[in-house]
Amino acid sequence: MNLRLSGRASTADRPSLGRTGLLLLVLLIGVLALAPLAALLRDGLLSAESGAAGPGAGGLGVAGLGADGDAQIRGTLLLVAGEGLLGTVLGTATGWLTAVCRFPGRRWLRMAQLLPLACPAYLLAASLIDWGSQNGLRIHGFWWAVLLLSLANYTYVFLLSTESFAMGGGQLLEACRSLGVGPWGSFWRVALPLAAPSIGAGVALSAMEVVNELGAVRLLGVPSLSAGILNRWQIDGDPRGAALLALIALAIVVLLLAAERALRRRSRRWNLGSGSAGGLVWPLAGWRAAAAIGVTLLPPLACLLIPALWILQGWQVMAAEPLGELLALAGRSFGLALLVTAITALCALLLAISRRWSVGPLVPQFSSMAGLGYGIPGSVLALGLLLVGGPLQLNPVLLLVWGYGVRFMAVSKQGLDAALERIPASIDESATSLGCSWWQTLGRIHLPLLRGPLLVGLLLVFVDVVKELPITMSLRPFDFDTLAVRVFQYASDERVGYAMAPALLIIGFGLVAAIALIPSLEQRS
Amino acid sequence: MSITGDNNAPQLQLRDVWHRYAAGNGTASSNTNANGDSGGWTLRQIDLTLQRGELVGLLGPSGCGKTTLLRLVAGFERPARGSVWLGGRQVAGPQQWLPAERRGVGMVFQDYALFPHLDAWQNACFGLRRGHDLNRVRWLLELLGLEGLERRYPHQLSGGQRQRLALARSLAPQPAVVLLDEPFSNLDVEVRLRLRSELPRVLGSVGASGLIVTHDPEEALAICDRVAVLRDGMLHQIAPPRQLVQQPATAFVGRFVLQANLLSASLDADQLVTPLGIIPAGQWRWAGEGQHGDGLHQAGQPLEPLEVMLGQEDLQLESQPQGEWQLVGREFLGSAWLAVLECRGQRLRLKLPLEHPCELGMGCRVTLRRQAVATLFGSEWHQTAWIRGLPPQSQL
Repeated sequence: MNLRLSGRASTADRPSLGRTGLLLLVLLIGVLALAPLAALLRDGLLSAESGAAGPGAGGLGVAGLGADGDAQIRGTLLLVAGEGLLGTVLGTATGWLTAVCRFPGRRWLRMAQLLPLACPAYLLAASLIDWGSQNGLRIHGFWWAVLLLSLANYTYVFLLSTESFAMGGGQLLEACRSLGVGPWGSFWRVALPLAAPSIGAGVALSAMEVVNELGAVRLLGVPSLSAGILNRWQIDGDPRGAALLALIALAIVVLLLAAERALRRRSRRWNLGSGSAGGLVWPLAGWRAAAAIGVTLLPPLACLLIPALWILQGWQVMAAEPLGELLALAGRSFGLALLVTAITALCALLLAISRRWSVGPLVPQFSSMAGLGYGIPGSVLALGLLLVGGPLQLNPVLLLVWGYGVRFMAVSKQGLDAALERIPASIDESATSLGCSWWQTLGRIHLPLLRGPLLVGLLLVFVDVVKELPITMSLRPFDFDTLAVRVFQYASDERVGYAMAPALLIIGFGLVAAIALIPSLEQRS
Repeated sequence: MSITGDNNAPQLQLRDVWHRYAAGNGTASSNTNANGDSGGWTLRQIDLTLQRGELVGLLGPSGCGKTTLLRLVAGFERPARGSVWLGGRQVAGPQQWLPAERRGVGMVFQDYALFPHLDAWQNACFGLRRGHDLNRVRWLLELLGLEGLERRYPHQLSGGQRQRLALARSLAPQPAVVLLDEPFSNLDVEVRLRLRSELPRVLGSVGASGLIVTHDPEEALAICDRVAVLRDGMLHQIAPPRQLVQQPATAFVGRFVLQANLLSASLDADQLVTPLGIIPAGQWRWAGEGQHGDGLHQAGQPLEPLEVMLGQEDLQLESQPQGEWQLVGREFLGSAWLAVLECRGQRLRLKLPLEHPCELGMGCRVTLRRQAVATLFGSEWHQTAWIRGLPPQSQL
């Protein structure tokens, strides 16, 4: 770096200088992303050792976690299984119907599948529980949790399955028809086997959300790892035990992540790139069309109706809430979200570009590791951050931003990476051959081409931060409430009415994000 | 398939078929909508018949509607007017619609559309009902030279093997008609030539009729029993290859199929006015072939702009510095030069022997040989003419 002799370096030097700088930045991002995990691993392993060595805790639990820990592990695994099943059915059915079948309202219903993204599970749970209690219905326990988590998360399965159906769709389904195979046959024999890896990847993604989920499972009284970690650490004052639980949660997530990656690779290999989309293949009429409308309308409708009914019934309570309080909450949420959005966008851009130009041997590995944060449950991540930041006396808000950044980096990065992949290497080479340096290529070719995905990524990160609950609950300083925290706390204190205005704001922003995703969904069909 | 109707019925018949894409319907080949002059019709007034065992080529430039025509027969598109008949049974019409999966028509897609998760054998058997005789599939794979590759997946096959597998798959359910959408366009020249000469033999040995879409005139002329030339959704001519070459029905057929030289011309009181000179009344006569030429000389007034098509062998060229024609391009063909000549916006492409001087920019004089045969095209008619001798004075 001390080669800078005069104001301008020779053109041959410039890339290498840039490369070194980029490499250092990528390494820094990687270290920041991995430090919490490393701290957690160290503590968790230490505690596992001492737990195994020590006599206490009894023989019931895994490595001395007690019956409590057992119930929490079982609860999370059962939720993952239950949500996985229901989410697969919902996501696959809606994906197939809206990708290749023609029925009235299909286009609108296809877009409607994005609506659940606007309603976090804890919000659905809070509003349904309160609405239920007003109408004499007790919403509590495992099956309600499966239902609400599926409603809130099946969109992940939908997005990936529908892409696969639409891509393979056209011509392969026409080939089926020319060979005398009808709609059901084409679904079971061709479309479903081909989409299976994508569906699996979607299920793995939604399962990670389930492991992450804190608010809904607590409100519904289902034992889970996420809540267990927080309890042990904040209520029982047992950070080691919490770290051990966190390791178990991490192990589940690592398995899910590995499955997701392997399945995606497989789905890519099968994609022989039959470029032409053949449009809608199966026209539906009569009761079939009605059934299709029902299947695709119900889940998004439920996600909107549940909070809507609740708010309609308690309109007066919401109006009585002082506005200043709401503004303070919103200000905090939005301020944090803006900051995190800017940071993740910058980091994602750096990672994506240094990966494309392969500035160093380890960059691809670092880049993909830095993107792993989305799989780590919020409470696990928070615990890791506290283990790193506690001894250093870091400001809690800083830790909070760090946590958001690690968790949501992937949201920015994914879109960028995918968009960059779609720009063929020959484009870069032609720019270079026309005399562009690497940063000119970035400014004149990549950034204009990446503007769309970059903006969508920004918006998604923003909304994700506003919605986020587990990290915020774990790391926020005393008296530092955000919209999401307020919804959850009032709901658990059974003062649900006061949670309405913040909930409405969260849904509103969620809807904006859902709408922003529509163009990319349209591209897939 | 149990097809009602008599055995002598044509395998496939399109009667006065019209088609247009619904606005905003993102279906394939929507580029054909771009033709502003066709009133949004991708296909107009199509009449086409396919006899038993016949291989018919659908030839035309890209966007002319040929793939749409194929998709109409397959059942992926619905005609706006007219009807489609398979083996004497109406499958598409004003009150009739048989969905694609029940038509029993084989289809080979341009990029084959093989199922990537199934191996070659499973792909080939895909269209067979349970309990169907698998010996036929074995025989088909053997016929197409695919034996021993049954356990391979599509991505483990070469381009030519994929193409043959796609053909085998479409033939396995014993369709009476097979539709082929540019089946050879994704292949290397060598493989393409080999496979295309195999196609008539394979179709013949399974007794299927074929309708093949192509944009390559040479391919269509080489292997088809008849060729249908399509442009902007209209059929210009349907004829056996030989007839197509000898008597092209429109100027477009001459230009696109034969890649012949066409020059603008006109008739002026029985004088034939061409860029190569004026041919006086006594020097040429109608050959009596063609269509709609009867009323032509009446009052000597068919004064619409004409096009005259001239064969390579009817033109001769001398290099002459003051010549009106200028050599503006040349290609080396191995055994000859292909020279491109230009004069006042008109172009000629001529083969010249290698020893002929062929310098870019050189001036030339182009004349008609004695005993030339020319074809004259109006907008509604065409006529062949005998031309005797070249005119003394060269003028436009």
